[in-house]
Amino acid sequence: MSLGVLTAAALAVAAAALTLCARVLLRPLDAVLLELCRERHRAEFWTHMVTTCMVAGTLVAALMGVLAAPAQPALAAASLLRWTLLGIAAGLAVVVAVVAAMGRRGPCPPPAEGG
Amino acid sequence: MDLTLTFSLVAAIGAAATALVVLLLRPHLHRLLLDLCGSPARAGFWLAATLLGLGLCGLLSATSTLGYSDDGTPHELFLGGVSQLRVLLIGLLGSLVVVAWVLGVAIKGLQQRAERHAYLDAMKRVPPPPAPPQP
Repeated sequence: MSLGVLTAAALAVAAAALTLCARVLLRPLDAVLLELCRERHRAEFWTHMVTTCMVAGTLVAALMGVLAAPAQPALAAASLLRWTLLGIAAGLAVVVAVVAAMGRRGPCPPPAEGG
Repeated sequence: MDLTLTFSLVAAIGAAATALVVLLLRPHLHRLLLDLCGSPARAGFWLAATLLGLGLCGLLSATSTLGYSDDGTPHELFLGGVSQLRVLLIGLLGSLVVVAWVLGVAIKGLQQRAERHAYLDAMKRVPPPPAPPQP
């Protein structure tokens, strides 16, 4: 198989993994952020921020995988897939660290009157 | 068998094994996290994060190319596949050990908090000591 087909297959698998992660994580993340932030708009802001960071981190990792690819096409596609999965895992680690820190600090104060 | 087929076959086995572990662990972990976190929202988030972490660790180790080389003779392909399987099992086992360790620490903290609350409740039920005699 050619390098192009294998790279496209690896990118499709990585995109499917990212979509699956987002589908699995976003609803519970929204619920826990709503509990921690107390306000719907604050929770939505942090949820969107996290989604953007995860997608951007995954894209950066995929580009690093393209740069670090070995000569053999199958191994190059595997490297691309692995780097992308590593990017998703790093994004997940950041989300977990942020939620754990927010949980330890307790819920946010309610918004100021008239604010 | 060429390198692409061998690698894809072992990676598919790895993905299936990871999915099996995640499906087996999910209901038990959910009950335990409900006890530990105290609210369904927190338990749901930690369940999703833990299962995603396990799945990503499994997939990362299933796509390892440590044992493969560029020449790809059948003997080396076999050794590469075995090496890929070994890394997969090490990754799955390692991630399970990490999850079990974190849960153990959380359970220990929960027990200590419960003992502290029980002690404080018992102290509140004890009547205050009598006032010292007046000179």
